[in-house]
Amino acid sequence: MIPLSYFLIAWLVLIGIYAVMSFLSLLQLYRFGIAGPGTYTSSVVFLLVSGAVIVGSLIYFLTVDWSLALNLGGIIPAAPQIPL
Amino acid sequence: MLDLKKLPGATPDEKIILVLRRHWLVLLSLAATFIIVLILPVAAIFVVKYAKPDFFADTIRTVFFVMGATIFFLFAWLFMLQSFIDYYLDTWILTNRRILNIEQNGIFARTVSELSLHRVQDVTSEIRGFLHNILDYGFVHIQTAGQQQRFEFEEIAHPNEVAKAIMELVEEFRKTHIAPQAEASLKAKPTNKK
Repeated sequence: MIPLSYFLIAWLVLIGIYAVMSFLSLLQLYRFGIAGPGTYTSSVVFLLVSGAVIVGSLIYFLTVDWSLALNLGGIIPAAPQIPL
Repeated sequence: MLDLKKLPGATPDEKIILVLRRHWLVLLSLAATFIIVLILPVAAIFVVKYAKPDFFADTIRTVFFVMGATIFFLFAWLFMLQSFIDYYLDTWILTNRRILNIEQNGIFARTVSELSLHRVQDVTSEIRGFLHNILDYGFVHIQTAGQQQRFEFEEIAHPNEVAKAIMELVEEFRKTHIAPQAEASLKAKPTNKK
C-alpha cells in the first residue's frame, strides 16, 4: 500500500524542477533578448499559462482525500493458482 | 537585454538598417508540433472514456491522470518556450557599418560574430524548395575577404532584397570610408619627380 500523498510529493518535486528550468529559460530570454514587446509578451504568456495549469490542478487536488492509498495488488493481478 | 539603441561597440554615427530573424513559418511549424502534442492527453481522455466509461469514477485513477497530464503539458510548454527562445534569440543586425550575427544554440550556448562591411566581398541569396518560393524566404550567404567561413542568414524573409540592401550598404561604406582614406593616403605620399 503506497499512500497517495507520496505521489503528491513526487508531483511537487517535478513542479519544482519545472519552475527552476522555466526560471533559467526566462533569465536567458531577458538577458539576451532584444528589449521590446516580443520579449515581455512571450514571457507573460508563458507564465500565465503555466500558472493557470498549476493553480487549476492544485484546486482539484484540494478536493482529493490524500489519506487514500494505492493498492498495487489492485493494479497488478495476482498470478493464477495452478493446482498441483 | 540587448538595447538596439545601444549596440555593443557602436560608433556615434552607426545606424541600424535591418533587424532580421528567421521567417515566421519556422515558428508556425513549432506551434503545430506543440498543438499535436497537446492533443494527446485530451485524446487519451476520450479514448479511455470510450473504452472504459467508469475509469474516472475511481479517485486514485483520476488523480494519477491529472498529475500525468499536467506534468506532460507543462514540460511540453517549457519545450515550446525553449524552442521559441532558440528562434527569437537568433538575430542578424545590419547597420551602416557592420553585420552582427547572434546565434543561440539551445538555451545556454550562444555565438556572437561581427563583420565589418568593408570585409564583405560577395553576397548571394538562395531560395530553394516550394515553400521558400511561395513565401519568399531563404538564405543569404556573405563571402568575406580572407576568410573561408561564410556569414549566413538562415531562412529569412525576402532574401533577394536583403542581399541587395547589403550590397548597397557595402558600396555606400566604401564610398564614404574607404575611398576618401585611399585618396588621402595617395595625396600624403611624396612624389619622386626629377
